Amino acid sequence: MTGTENSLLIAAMILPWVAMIALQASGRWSKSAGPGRVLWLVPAAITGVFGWLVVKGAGTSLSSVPLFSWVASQGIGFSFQVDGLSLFFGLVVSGMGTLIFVYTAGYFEGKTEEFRKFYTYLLFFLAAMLGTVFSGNLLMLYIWWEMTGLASFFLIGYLHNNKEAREGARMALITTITTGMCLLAGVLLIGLTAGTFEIAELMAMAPEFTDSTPWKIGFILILIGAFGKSAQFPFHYWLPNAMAAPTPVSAYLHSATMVKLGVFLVARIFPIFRPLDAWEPILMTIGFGTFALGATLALLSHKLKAILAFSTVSQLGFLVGFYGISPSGGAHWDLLHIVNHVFYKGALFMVVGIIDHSTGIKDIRKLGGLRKHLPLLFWVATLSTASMAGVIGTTGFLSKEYMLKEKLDYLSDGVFLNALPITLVIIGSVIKMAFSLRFILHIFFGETSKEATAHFHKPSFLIQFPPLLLTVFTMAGGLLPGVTGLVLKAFTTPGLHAPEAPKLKIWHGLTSPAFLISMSILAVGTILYLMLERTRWRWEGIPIWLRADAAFTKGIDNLPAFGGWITRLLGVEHPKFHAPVILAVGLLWVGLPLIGQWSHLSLPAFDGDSLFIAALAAILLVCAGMCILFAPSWRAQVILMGTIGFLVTFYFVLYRAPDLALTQILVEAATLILLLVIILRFPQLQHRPCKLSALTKSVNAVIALGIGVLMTVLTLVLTSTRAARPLGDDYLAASLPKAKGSNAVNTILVDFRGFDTLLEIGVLVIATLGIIGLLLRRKEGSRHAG
Amino acid sequence: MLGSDSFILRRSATMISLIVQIFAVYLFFRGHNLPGGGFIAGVASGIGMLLLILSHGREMVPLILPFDPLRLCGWGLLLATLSGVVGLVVSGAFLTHYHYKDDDFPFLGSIYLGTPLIFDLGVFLVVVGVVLKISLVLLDALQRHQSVEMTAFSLPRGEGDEPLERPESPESNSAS
Repeated sequence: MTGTENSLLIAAMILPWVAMIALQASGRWSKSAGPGRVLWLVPAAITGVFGWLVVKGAGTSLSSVPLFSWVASQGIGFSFQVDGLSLFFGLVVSGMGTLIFVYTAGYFEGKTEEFRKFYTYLLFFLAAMLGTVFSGNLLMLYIWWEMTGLASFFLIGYLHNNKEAREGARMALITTITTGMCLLAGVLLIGLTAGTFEIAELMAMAPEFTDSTPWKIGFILILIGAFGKSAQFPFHYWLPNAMAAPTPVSAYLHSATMVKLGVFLVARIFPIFRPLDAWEPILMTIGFGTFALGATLALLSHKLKAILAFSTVSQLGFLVGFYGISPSGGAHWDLLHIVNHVFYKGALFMVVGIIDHSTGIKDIRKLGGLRKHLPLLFWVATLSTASMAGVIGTTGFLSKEYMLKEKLDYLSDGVFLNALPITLVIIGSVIKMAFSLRFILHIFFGETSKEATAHFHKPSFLIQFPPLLLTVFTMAGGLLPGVTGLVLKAFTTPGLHAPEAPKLKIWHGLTSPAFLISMSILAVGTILYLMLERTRWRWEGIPIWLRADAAFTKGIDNLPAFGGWITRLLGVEHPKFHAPVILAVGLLWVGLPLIGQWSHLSLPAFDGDSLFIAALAAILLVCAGMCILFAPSWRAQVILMGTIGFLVTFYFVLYRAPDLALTQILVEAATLILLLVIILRFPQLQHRPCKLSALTKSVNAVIALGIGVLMTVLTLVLTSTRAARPLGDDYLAASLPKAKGSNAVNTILVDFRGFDTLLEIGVLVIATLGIIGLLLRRKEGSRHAG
Repeated sequence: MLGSDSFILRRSATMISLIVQIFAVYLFFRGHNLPGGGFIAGVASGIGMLLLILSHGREMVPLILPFDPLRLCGWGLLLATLSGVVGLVVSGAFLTHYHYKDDDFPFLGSIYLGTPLIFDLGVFLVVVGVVLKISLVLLDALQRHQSVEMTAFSLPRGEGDEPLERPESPESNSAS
């Protein structure tokens, strides 16, 4: 790639961030209809850049664009990898993004105050997606990957007054983040085994590691991450629940782009891990299993979006399985299957959104006869559904034809297990045909339902335009296979795609086995539909034993109970139960090895003056400590503790640590105020705890004495064995010349170990958030209150 | 709620708090060369505000800090991170600091500025925010326990005595 191309690519990646900041900074304009009219230009411009790169031929070669290294010592750096796969996904993300941005303007028509927030999330998502697909470094890919999950969380929970939306968002976040953790672990294992995180380098080194166990474990972990994101079995439950999001989100994130990241990752690691033996069986069973399962669940659902969501799960399963059985030489026409799904599923989601928009109904059982009311939409939906079912003339037909061919070739390899893909694909496709028929016939035909027409208002052309355009693509792709093939050829990725692919054409002859199977799938699917029609679709929904999401919710709900059980089991509710145990264990563990080492002890040296002060402070400290034991009330004890804290300051001054002394005084003051004025006034602390028995008291006394002795000994041991060259000297010497400050304590804090400080203040904030959660969530009259 | 009946406490708390704030600023700026710095200054400033809140009551909070203290934490983290990004952009290493020193600056004599100061400002803001937020959350939780006696630490006085003066509204307090 040339310099211009590089800078254009980088500009395209930065553009969404710039647009996001501009949107936030634009004040009142962002709450008018303005953003809806203008913002689609952002993804459109990005689409233009990627399209230009493809025209320039960047899709058929692999080029790395290292930007800058972030943590050079660990091999973490910003680098882009530009090849067919990343450009293809980049185009899908930005192209689909353009349509969704237009659609959103129509979807939120009249509710312009939503624009600012919604478009900000969408832009954030766009930026994160582009980062993920162009990442050239596995660790960077992981970071972008999780950012897309975060964007998805915000967008699913966008209607946060809705309980379903909140729970769906939580479920999606927990599932994708947990599996994302597996991905991170896998990436780290792979990176540490190979010594690099750069994908291009890993591709070159892959053959060396096919026998290494960490390599294999890393592969499995990465796959778990991909399966979680792409809602593969057993993580398929989160995607339908994510449908509580506004429809533009469902169409964009949860069918066209984000959920395809799992498929993208599988394709990305294809050149690296295809040689492993485990590749084929795992991807094949999980992928095609999900394909059949998703189709079945879609047939059983009644909610429009649930039908589409499960059919998405099913299609994603197919894509994963497809990569599973692709020969190690490279896959054929995988991008055809992906682009096909993007076209028809995106259009169908938008159609469902428009139906919801104009009728307010989300359940297929309540709809019917909309053909006359929504003529344009009817054609859009019919053609897109035809593509979903694989009717001849659509991109879906091409896709199905070639997937059957692929499966049949695979069958002829002769092993028994090889019949699995074709069987599952045929079963799944039959079911798909059945629910596709239901989708069209029950929405647009039959008697007009009164509910649907009661609040009917006509959708604007603006909102119908994006699905129309997608349908045009669907038909063009299907009717002009030569052009489709030519376009997809421009994305041939080295390592992933076979250099020579069979030519795309519609007609393979009446007797070609793929065509015959394809036609019988359509016929059997129609028969299945007619059979189900006789049951009048009377079931309530998906049976409970098939609903993994119900089990998930139950598990989450029971988590606090489990935590409470552990808490009671370990007795951590009150220090009087666990403190003696911890201290006694510590005493034995640390104290026992010290026995017999008496000869190493020595007293630290004091000069005359400081000895007097030190002794005085020590006597005061001991007195205060003794007083705590006999103080009558909480308050007196707390004040005495504070006294000890202040007295310790003496020693800091003595050893010339003014910073420590200052900090100690201030922190002690803050703690005292908090304890005395606020915490001790809680009613739980007003009464004294119950009396301990004499036996417990004496055991506690022995432990306390032991700890006291141990700490004394430890102090003596540690001060007598000082390092020959203490680290502090280096810092003292370097403080002024390197950090331009004469206070070494501070230069260590802000400069030498600034990263520690940064993370520490982060921890402070996190701890505060935890305290807020603990104290403010408690309801009146709960078990602990009062 | 909270807020003391004692006139003397309230007036002196206002004074002391002001002095503590000035001291905190002083601590903050001397940090790089003498004992002090963002953390200590943050704790000091937090204590100062806490004193005001405890003596004048919870209603005082919107007057001294018209937004959620948690925002301070957010801005602090952002500032500290941004001060590190400067190094990332200029030299490629995160948290590399840069300094500017001018011994002949008009009016002030000599000034010294650098990214460590911004970093320290971030630490300062986070600490102030954390101290205040935790205290306020505790106060709010306390408020919900209605059974707490409200005058636990007012001046001792005889049974049935009238307080020396009625508690005033926080606005009139802050005017003094």
